[in-house]
Amino acid sequence: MSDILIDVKNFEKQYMKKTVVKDASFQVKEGMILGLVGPNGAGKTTIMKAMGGLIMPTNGTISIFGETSEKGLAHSRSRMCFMIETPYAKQNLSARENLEKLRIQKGLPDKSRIDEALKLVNLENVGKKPVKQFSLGMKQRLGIAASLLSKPEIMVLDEPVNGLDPEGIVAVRELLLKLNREEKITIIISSHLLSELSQLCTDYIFLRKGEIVENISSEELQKKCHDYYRIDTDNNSLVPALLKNKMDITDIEVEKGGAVRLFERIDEIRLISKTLYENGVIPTELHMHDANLEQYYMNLVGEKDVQYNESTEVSADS
Amino acid sequence: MYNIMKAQKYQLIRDNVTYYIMLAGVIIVWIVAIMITEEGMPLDHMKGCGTITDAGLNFYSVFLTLIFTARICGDDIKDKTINYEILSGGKKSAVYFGRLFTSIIMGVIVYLLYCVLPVILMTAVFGWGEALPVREGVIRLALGFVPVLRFIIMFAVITFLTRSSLGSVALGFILILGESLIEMMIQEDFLPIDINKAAPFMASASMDVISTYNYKMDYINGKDVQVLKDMMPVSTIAMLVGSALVMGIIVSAAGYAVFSKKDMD
Repeated sequence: MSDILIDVKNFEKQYMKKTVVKDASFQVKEGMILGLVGPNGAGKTTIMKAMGGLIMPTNGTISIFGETSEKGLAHSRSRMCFMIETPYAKQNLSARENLEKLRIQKGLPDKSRIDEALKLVNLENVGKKPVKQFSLGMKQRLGIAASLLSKPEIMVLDEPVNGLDPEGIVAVRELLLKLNREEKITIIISSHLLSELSQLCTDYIFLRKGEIVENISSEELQKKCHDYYRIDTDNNSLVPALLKNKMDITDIEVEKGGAVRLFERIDEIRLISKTLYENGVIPTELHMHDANLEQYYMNLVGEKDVQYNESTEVSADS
Repeated sequence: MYNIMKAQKYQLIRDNVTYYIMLAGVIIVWIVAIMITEEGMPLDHMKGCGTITDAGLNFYSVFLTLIFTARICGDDIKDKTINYEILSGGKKSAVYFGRLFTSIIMGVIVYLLYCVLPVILMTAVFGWGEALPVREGVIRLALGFVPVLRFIIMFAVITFLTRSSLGSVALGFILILGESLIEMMIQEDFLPIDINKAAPFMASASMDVISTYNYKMDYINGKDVQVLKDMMPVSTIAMLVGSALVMGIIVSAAGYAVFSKKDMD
């Protein structure tokens, strides 16, 4: 059986002839924690809404658990859970009543699941307090509890830590990691907290103005975001082999122009330089690049589209 | 769809606003009753059967069903409850018709409380009266729900299309007043249309047919009273019920066709 749970092909969405997502194609595999990253209006929420059946694609297809028909997709969605924009909650009902109503609506027979879900998000002791008296963080956690009620196979979460305090953010992160590892739930998550995503995601999709600009795994991204030395020489073609043979350095990337990116033993740059020189290769540039996810993101999506707060976090998606 | 209706029931029972609306409805009925009495038409004059024909409770229950339908359909659109039902695999047809049927059931409850119960109470206190036989009263009381049903379907469709409970209350109010105005113009011969012929197309006209069909004034026990000349023919009953069902199906199907094609915000 294929481990591809969601297959998005050439998805396009237009509103009033304005294209908000253009030709998006990607796959979500079992066990992934996929981060959708992009500035306001990049199309993250639109993609999630299309997966959830709230909006219809203008072009392209979305297959979930192999289903593409309306009926099949509706059935597939019953194996998923979503938290998009506003968390699920009736304001006049208590947390427990909200989950009970959801349980009835979903036709779930197991009432004990309500207690488990409330306990998972630390809302088991809020009593009969109506949701309208909850803090934003509590509402977010209730939304996650609602998501967990039916033991989903895929969770789709739009800005799940939005409005949470640092303690709440850590709690949600740990919960999501636990769900991914222990319950084998595949997660698709969007967040403006890039540092947060970097502690969660196994894969990333970077979006800009409705287009996917990069689809990359966490390992690849870490490599790209890793500090490295850029080495340019008078004979770049010899550098990889030379460094491998003489210094056993293999973590090297050759740029299109021929310059080499060195990710390994970068604190020994003097020795590396000396080795190259002694073997007839003259370094013309040795430049240290320190990179992180946010810088990488900025380079990718363009600085002018990005808003930062004091901790250099990118603003929330619309 | 059944699960959505059960969830709606759970929500309505636990929502205090449901009871506030019901209580406000009772208070308004009492205020209206006092006003009728003070305007020279004592309740004992009206009696049980007169409550069916003269009190205008059908019309009153339409306003209450408007508020409930707006809450059942509109509030769930506003707070994204409907979105979450679709996200969890609910079909749009289940979301739409589940709420439509819940609104109709709520309409039945409102009708029983504000139209049927007053007739029972008035009969218990003042007797049935002379205006119409009990059998005819029961038929007309049962038929009285037919125009209410038509209004509920229109309100639900308006709410799903406007996606706003406030907007639907406003438009529903305009619809009620608009229909009433046309019906009044027909009654006063400003429009050359037979009210019986207008009934299949207008909920308020059908309401009028049910409450005032075939009456005449008579002098009984020293009082001028409105009495029934003849029973309502089966053909009229069939016309009222049939037209309500046909119009209800057409309006609700058209509303669903638009709702199912529109993206959810």
